[in-house]
Amino acid sequence: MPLLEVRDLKKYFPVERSLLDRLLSRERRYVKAVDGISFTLDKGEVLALIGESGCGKTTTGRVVLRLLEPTAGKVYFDGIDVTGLSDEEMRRLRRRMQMIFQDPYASLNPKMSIGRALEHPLLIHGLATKKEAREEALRLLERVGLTPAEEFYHRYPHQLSGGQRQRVAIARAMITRPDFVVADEPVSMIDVSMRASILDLLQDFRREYGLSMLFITHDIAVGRVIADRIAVMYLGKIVEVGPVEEVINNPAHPYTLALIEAVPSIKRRRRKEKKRIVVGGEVPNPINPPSGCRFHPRCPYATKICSQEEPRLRRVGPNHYVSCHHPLKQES
Amino acid sequence: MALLEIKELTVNYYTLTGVVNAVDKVSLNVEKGEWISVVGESGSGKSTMAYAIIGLVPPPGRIAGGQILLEGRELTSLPPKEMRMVRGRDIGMVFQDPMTSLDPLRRIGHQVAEVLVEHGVAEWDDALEKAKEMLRRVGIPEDRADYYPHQLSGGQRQRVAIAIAMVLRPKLLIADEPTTALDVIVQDTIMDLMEEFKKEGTSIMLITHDLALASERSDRIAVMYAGRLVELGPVDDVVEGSAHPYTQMLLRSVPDLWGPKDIKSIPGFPPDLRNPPSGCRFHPRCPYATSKCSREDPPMVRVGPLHYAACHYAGKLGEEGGG
Repeated sequence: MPLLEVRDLKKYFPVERSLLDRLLSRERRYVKAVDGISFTLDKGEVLALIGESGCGKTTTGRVVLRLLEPTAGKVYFDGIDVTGLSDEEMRRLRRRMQMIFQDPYASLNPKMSIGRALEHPLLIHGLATKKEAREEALRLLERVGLTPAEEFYHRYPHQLSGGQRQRVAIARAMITRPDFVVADEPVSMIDVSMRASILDLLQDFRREYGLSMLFITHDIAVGRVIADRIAVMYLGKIVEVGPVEEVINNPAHPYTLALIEAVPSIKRRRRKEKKRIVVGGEVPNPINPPSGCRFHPRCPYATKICSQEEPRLRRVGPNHYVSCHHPLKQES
Repeated sequence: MALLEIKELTVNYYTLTGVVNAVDKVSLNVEKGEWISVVGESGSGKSTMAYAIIGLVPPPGRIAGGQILLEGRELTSLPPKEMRMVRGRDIGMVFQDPMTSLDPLRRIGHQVAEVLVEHGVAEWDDALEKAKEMLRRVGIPEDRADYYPHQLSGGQRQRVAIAIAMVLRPKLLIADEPTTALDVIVQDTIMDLMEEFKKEGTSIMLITHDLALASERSDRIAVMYAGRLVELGPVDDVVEGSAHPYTQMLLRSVPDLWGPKDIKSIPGFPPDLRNPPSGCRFHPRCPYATSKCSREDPPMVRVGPLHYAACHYAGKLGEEGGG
């Protein structure tokens, strides 16, 4: 049984209606941020959720942890239907499901010392006495490389750099020894030379705790470093999911290919002259997404069927699935 | 003669908590028709240098030394009025946030036309026609000239900002992280657009934290660290035969879609420029550092025909960059 199973998850946000809309009693409209996605995550596995801004990847992470209520669909964690839990039951489960946010400047309480911020989750979940919590906080500080730990324990967030704060945020997420963590763009606001060390740290915890991770990123190269599988999102849908190297080397969805082609690379810096795919325009408005396949207006391979029928997820290889009427790769 | 010569440029920020030496004696040329990318992390001084070139270092910053010559003409001592004419006519600038150069309350066609009118190149009627042409040139359909910035996507706004920067066909376009806020597919098309202007003879200076982005389109790369230029050379030399340990370590720390998966982090943290390390500013993080490195500023030494590095041991550390 997978540790996490997401089934046909939807999250719609209502669009604020203008006075005119209300006077004319126009129907309420919705941003379909996440529009029916399904995936599983095994114990100890890392799944990278990749996509451009507005594709719904961040919303997915938040709904999975029930920081947002889903509009429809189910999330099973270790066999428990998370979507049906009471607040109290959810609070107790939080210890096992943690989150690391993108912005380390916003995710730490500026008035709380680093030591207290770390102890806090242990104390509210009743997992440790004050003395034990302090020892654990010091151990974690050491573990994430904030030494001397005693010194960092007494510091406040504003006294730390972005990279150091992100280490604190990771330590705080790890202190309750969770089984599962959602990491939402954890390195995108960190300086380039510090990113590798943050990724290393996440890898270490993964090995040590057998941690499963939903790693949300816009950067497929970063996703590749840490993930076993990649899921590519476009306008609220998963368009392709599969083993990392397979998706990168043999993408089946034209959008995935376009994304990969556009990623700057030192190794293939001369390849820009011979592009394999050119897509037009930008991501359309999620309030009124295109009919059929949502990528069809930008897709160079689109035919009539693409604008009429929504493609179903189909298998193109071991563990490799794509939702496209004309996949670039077929099951061999 | 080089198009732009930066000689021993020093820029400081005079803050209440001390003097921040943001750019320290940087010398750099931009040749006619070349694309040079200045790569560095936040705090490396790359953006401050760009602002110094166009005479817009924000207070409490000030150029504290050195020269900036555009076709031999000293820019640092130009009166503000003349410098305003240099901006736009000789040097165009694009910023990370296109709204830095766009007025939210005015139609985009007018904003492009205004540049022509202000520089006395055209009257309004004519300028509006030329503006439409320029918008079409950057990929904005003519019928959108009446749009306001908020009606456009981020990528389209950046195109308008480029139209404003390029409408007078300046010799140099400085682009400071122009695509950092954009998605990769859009980023790619903006880079394509800049490349087209380069093909028409415009020199490009791209300021970026993204070494991979720089490596794809540039002729030369300049690497900055903690306010100093540490390496300069043709792209292939810098990414395949880097001579400065910082560049070498940076190359190994950045995930590359087609490179090795086991990336190596750079130990330590970038320094506080209120109180920069003595000698080589990278020495506290450098695995090869000796006592000489903490005592003496390393000079820029030549390690290849057009390839330079500011390291006491440049060219003696072996080929470790690129991998």
